[in-house]
Amino acid sequence: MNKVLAIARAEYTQAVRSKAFLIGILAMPILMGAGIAFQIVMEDRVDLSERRCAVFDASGQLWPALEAAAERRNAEEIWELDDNGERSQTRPEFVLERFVPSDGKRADVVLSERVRAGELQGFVLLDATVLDEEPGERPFAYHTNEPTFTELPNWLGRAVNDEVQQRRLQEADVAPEIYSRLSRRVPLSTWGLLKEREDGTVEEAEEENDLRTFAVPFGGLMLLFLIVMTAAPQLMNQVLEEKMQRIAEVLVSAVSPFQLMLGKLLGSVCISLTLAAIYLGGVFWATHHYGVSDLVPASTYPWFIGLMVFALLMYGSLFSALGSACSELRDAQSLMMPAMIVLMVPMFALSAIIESPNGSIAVGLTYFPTATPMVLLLRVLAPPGPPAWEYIAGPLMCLATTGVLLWASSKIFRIGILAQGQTPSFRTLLGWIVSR
Amino acid sequence: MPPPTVRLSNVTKTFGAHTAVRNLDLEVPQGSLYGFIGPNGSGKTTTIRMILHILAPDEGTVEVLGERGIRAANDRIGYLPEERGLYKKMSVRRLLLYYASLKGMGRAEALGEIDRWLERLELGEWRDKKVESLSKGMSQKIQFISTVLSRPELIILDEPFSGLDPVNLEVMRRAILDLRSDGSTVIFSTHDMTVAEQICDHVFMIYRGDKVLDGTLEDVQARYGQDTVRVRTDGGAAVLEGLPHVEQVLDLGRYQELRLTGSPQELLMALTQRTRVRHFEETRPTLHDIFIRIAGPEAAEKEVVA
Repeated sequence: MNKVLAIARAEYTQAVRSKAFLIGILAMPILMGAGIAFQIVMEDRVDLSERRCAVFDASGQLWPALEAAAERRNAEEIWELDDNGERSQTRPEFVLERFVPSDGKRADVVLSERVRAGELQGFVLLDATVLDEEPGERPFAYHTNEPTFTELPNWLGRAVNDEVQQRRLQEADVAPEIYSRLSRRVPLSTWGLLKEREDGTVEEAEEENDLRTFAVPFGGLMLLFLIVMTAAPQLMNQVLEEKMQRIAEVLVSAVSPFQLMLGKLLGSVCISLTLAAIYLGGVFWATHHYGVSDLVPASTYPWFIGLMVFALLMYGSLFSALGSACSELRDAQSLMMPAMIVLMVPMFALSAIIESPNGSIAVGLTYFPTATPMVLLLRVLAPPGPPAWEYIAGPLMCLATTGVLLWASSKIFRIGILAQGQTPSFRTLLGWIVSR
Repeated sequence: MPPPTVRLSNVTKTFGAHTAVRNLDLEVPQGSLYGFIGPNGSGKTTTIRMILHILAPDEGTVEVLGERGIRAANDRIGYLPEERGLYKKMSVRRLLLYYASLKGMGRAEALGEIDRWLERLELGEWRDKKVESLSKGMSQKIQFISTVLSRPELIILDEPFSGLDPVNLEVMRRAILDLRSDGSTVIFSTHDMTVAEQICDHVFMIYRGDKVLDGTLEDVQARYGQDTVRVRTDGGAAVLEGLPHVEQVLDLGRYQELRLTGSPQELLMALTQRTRVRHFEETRPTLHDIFIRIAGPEAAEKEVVA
């Protein structure tokens, strides 16, 4: 065991003393912070260039209302007063032009050409049946070659429907104010559960917020994913490098291949624990400093650490075995691809799990061996958390998977670390696992 | 008589269809400097890896320093593999300290030994430098120090002199001989038979997985050495064809070596009748000659290529 610890200590000190480690620690928060700052800055940077849109109103009734709505918007809704009381434009101006067909050509063909030529952002076709109780197949259509700009069609949809609604209310002889009052929606708020205490008093429910429901589980999973993604391939590269530089044979003359692999794994776990301590410490400080500590309950920190250790042991052993089996980086990267896909399984099901943390997909994936740490973490962080039995079954599953992967990886590592030449196929690797 | 440091009994190791070592019996006496010789791919490294318990034999037993258990004796063995590397980003002292810790040495003891060896091999000024700043010769000396640092009872050196300049080679040669004098048993693996001949007192030759030679250098040479003469004549190699009692002629350029089936005197008489003889010497065969006799000239060619 002393030799395993000696290897782990050497791996750890070598890593944390390197500049790359310091840069790595700083890089993630800096990049994330820069990303958020960029989004905030870009949110206020709107392209204010004028957007022209042609309207072909075959009903002949909606154009005046649309024209008036556009004028009203351009005059009132796209401006804001700044701190000095001066008006500044915040949204682009929408300029509508009425299209009247003249030369017998199809209106939609002519207007499409104008959009392609850059004269128009898009055009609207209002069918003659648009105001009918049973309108035609396509009563109101917006055509464009830039469908990602949604502000214009959204506004057009509201403007046309407001006018259509007004006309229907008039026909039904209902005053708009009455309709407005009758159709007013009742706001819905989402709350947690109440709890009766032993003394008979009631612990009131707390209102759910998106930060707690979505951002914390998502952030926790991303942090775990990034830590594993940093550590496991790095371990593979180190093993491969030691093999390529012929250091491995010196080491396995002093320690067994299993001791070597275990020492490296422990070193890698310690490096990741240092990283996690720094990041989680930052989260703990920030949530307490800003009075939102209930966003990340204290009980979730040990779960993060425990599941991270399991994930690192699982993927670390797997990736170090792959590194030992290869003689070239290129070969290792090809073997790494399937392992990466397995690693990413929980990411593919992320939204389904957050939406229904105790649904069949979430529970099923929890017991998909290599996905357990990440899926379980997601479910622990997403309210209401898994049922009590899963707090025992999940870690047991992690333990079993870690044991099997350590055993299989050590069998590959034992042979691979000294093998030279052609990279083994998956069939050969399986042969190494079952060999005596 | 003390028990042998290494005892291999009827050891066989196969890799798939290839038999790397076949029915090998070998005893390496305590305090000997034992040369493992043979061309590349003959089974030397596999034998060494079995001695180190890196590989397990398919058949037979391996006993090292009185231990048969897996890796039981590894802390008492120092191993310098043929293909060897160092952590380039580590300082010399940290690297050696790390290797010493893997051999179970305490920090204080290791630091003392590191300083002693660095001074002895004229690397004292480099102890705090990074390995990447060392020359190739210096790196090899560091690798050697890492092997002998823990004062192992058995030292296994696989091609320790490859790529060394004559000055460093002599420094290393002296260090190896001193280690043997201090009581260590040294196994010295090489495909360079001239080097083995200069330094070893015992030789073990393996070829295609089979042991073909084993014993003290004197015994081996005596066994093959009564029938070889070295000649230099005015006629060169061409006049040696068809001479009586000559089994094989090895053309060394200026000289030719002849293996005889009869008396050297009869050869000399026959030779003087054909050409003027400038030099005639009865010699002991080199390990290279012995190897060619055992394995045939094709093996020698392969060895040269390797």
